[in-house]
Amino acid sequence: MRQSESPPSSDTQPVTLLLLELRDGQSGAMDRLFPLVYEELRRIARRALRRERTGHTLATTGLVHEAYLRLVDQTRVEYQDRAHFFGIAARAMRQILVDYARRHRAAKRGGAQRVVTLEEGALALEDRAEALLALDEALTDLESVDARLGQIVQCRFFGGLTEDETAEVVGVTARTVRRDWLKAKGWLHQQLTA
Amino acid sequence: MEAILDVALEMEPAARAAYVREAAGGDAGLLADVEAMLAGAEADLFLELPAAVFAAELIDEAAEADGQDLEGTQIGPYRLARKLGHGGMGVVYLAERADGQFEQRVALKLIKRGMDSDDIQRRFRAERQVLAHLNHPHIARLFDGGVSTDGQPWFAMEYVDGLALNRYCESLHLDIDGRLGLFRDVCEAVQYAHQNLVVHRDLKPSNILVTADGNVKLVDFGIAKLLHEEPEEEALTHTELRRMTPEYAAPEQVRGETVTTATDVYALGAVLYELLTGRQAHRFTARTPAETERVICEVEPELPSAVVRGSPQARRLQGDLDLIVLKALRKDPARRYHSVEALLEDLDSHRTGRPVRARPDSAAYRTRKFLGRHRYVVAGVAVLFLALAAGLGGTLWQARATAREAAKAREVKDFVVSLFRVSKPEEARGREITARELLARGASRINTGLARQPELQVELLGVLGVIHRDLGLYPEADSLLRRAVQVARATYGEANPVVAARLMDWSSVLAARGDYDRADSMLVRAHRIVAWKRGPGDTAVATALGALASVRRLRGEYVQAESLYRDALRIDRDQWGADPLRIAEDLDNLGLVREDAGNFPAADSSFQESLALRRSVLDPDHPQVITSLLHLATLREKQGVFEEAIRLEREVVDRRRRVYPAGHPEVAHALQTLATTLQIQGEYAEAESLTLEAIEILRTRLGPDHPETIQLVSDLATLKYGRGDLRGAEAEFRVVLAGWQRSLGNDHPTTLQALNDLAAVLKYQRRYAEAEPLHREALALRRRRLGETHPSVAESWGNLAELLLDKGDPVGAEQAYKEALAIYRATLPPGHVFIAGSLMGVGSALTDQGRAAEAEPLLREALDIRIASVGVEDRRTARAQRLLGHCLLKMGRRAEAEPLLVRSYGTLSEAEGWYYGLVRQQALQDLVELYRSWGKPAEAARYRALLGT
Repeated sequence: MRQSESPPSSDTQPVTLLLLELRDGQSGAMDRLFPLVYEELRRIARRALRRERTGHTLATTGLVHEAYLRLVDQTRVEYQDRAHFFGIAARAMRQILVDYARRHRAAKRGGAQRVVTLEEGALALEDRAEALLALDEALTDLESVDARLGQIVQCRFFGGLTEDETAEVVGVTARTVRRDWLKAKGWLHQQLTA
Repeated sequence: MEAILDVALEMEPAARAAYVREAAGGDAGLLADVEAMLAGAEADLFLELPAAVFAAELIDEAAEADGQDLEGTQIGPYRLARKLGHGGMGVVYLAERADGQFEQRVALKLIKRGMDSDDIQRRFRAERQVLAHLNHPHIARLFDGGVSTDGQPWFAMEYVDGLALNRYCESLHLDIDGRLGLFRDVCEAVQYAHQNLVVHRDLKPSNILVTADGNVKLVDFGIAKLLHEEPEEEALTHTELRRMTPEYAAPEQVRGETVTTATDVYALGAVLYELLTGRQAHRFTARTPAETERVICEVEPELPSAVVRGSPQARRLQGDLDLIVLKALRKDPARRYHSVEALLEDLDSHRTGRPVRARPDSAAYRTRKFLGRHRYVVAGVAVLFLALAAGLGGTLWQARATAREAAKAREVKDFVVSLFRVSKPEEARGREITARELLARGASRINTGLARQPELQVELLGVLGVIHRDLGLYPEADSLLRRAVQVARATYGEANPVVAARLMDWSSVLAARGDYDRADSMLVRAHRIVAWKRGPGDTAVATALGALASVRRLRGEYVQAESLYRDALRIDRDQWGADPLRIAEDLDNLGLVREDAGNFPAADSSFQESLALRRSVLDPDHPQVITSLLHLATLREKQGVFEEAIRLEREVVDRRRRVYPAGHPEVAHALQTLATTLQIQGEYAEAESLTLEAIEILRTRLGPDHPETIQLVSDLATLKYGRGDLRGAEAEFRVVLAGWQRSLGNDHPTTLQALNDLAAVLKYQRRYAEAEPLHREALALRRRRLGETHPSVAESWGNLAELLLDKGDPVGAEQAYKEALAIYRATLPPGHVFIAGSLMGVGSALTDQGRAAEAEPLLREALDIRIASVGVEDRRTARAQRLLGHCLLKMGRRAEAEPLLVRSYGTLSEAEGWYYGLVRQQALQDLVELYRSWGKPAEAARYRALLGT
């Protein structure tokens, strides 16, 4: 991780404590964790931009992992706490990206203003924002049909987690993750292309 | 399903198909579902990369908005109002003057940190005089520049509310001419800058904006040079390369060599390439400096026409445009167009059909060009005078209003007079100037002759365009009217009724050429403009509504179309001093769409009212009166009153021939109408010769692959089939099939109908081995394209069954007929004639298998349906009677068979057409067999004698 480039590590106390509370089954821990993770992920994303643009996309792949390193005191947590954190962070990433996509859409539709496009890449941006919103909707549907499939997509795609990490979060084997991931893709493909 | 999926997904993808098919165990629905899921699982969804990568730009955008919110802050004399966008160079804000000296909205570009601001400032001071004096309608002005208190360089430019050139073209679905028109404006702007010694250096679609009213504006002129890190001597640095857009960068730029006007010529070539093909001239497998340089300096771009091969534009690009683009894109600056002006000249030559310079001249090439230019030579002068008098008369009349308008009128007069002036008198000796020549001259001179009178230019372009349209010269009309729209926009701005009027003219040509989508979107815009500017009750709004309705009607949206026409009619009737001809036209349109929707009485009253209105004010030979007659004739035909229809249609053909020049599509349409009616009445010979004449006209005017042409050939094929010329019908159906395959694709429903028709014609020639695979192909494609229960699928089953029965496979025929029957029973109301048809099929297949007892109830049901739907005297009923009689005969129930067969023969002996001739023969054979086996040789002999005839 790019620790050296990051500003001094933020306070790991609150998130670590909440994770421990969550493990103990204390009510409300989840609700208090989510906004903290959400904010930190946003901060990381914003900072990623200020870094040298070269290799920029590489920096965004590990957002969830970076957030974990920055928010959690690893000496005090266990294996399952990390899984909890990753699960929450994946959900937070989904929320962040959906929020961004909505904001993008609102900006496009607001009044007669047109964004002056300076880069060719921005052409696809519109489509990407719309694709994300469509996926979010389809995923919500999938969750109501099969919650596990939905969670796997949330971890793999939005959280950028590996198969093994996803397996930890969901509590199944990596082989099941692999199979369910394909199944979920089949389902989503039908929804999104229908 | 879940279980099958789980197992299959654990397998190698290659092994899945076999397993799934086995596991589904013949359940086709389940198999299809599982297969769809598996296909989706392996499909290339965007889920393959983590979301943060997929949405990296979205994160950038949001993060930038979050972190760098400068709205409200002041830079130089400007206050930033709102962010407009961002890119490699930095962020652009909409800004206003903060010192209140005067109101000015600018686009303020804040250059990214990290560039040497002192250096930029120094260069800006040196260049600002030049840049500030770059004053051209298509170049965004540079107002000011400096360095912010934070040390960030900034530039204030004219604010342009527009879309990038390529996005603009795509969003309006501009055709090639439209794109070339805009590109021309771009070239003019660049040429102007070059004359002022400014090179853009960074031309690309995103630096070429087009405003909502179609006005081109180049932004960032000269900025690239200011930001340039003077790499003349050294290799390009990584950052420099990134800032440049490699898709539009010339070889000399990547190599760090001297940048000249030829560099902009190259970029213009790259922009044109993309505009024409939708693809960039170069693609880069990796964005490394080495790879970028290699591709730009060594790889030759593909021919533009090859990129769009197979699409309708390909032919348009072949030749001139290919050559022009590639000449601009040459690697060696010295071999490109030596100036933008030269590029512009070639584009103009291409537009007007003169030889382009981008090709070494050859005699054959020049001749081809000349012939192309004079395609429509020589026609009656009268047409032009009539048209010009009507068009310009209106102009002149309107022009009486003011003194300024009087000057306009003089200009028009001079212009018209100039058309008659021949540049080389010896050329004109001994012959008269034809109307077509005058038109061609008008069209070619209007751009230059009236360049300083854009308002007149718009009007005359419109008049000339409409004349060309009315003469059926669609390509010329298209380019004239497109130009009219363009000049109108530049002159009046987008939201002006003049623009709306020209949009409507243009859309009428697009609709005539079959481009309904673009016509529709133009009309929606035109309607918005006039409703906004003139108010919802204005006749111009009615005109726009009517035009929009007609396009909707062409697209088959009858309910929408009727309601739009009613709105238009209401507006026109409500006018003070309402115009009867306008109302008649509205009524015609309303009648037509009512006819399409099958409401004949309502259509009739619309047409009658329209005809009466027209006769009250027009000459009986007037085209509008003819139009009314034609509408009524077609309606009569649909109502089954054929003699009346034919009488009206003959009158229409005669009048059309008198009024329109030979070879006009309107003559073809009149011929087609008459031929169709004659055919229904069995007048095959005359119908065929008229259809051939109409086909010839449309082939010449619209081309062999135009839907109207193909449809006419299809009519001809049906005609030949109807009179028993199966060989001839076969040949025509093959033409039709190939035509639809080219224009609509292999599995379009219309193409499949042609495939089906061809197979049927082969079958009636007993060429079963050729017909059967075609029927099976049509069936398979229809099932895939239309779904299992579509009536066309049933038709295919029925045709296949008929073939199987004829070639002696009654078991296969029974199965196929049952498929058809099942579809009809499931989708049609009980007692439908199609159900009767399939019942008769199953019945005769069973009879042929010796299962007459099973066939009897089916054939009785069929006969009941026929009698109920078409009556007992009809030839179709006769066929059902014959089949039932045949079935009863096979069971030895002669007394019951006799009346059926006698009655059937009685009806069929008077039936027209070869098909029922076949059925008549079968009935006779049955009768002979009946009386022979009954021991009544005299009766048998009597019918045997009739068999030969």
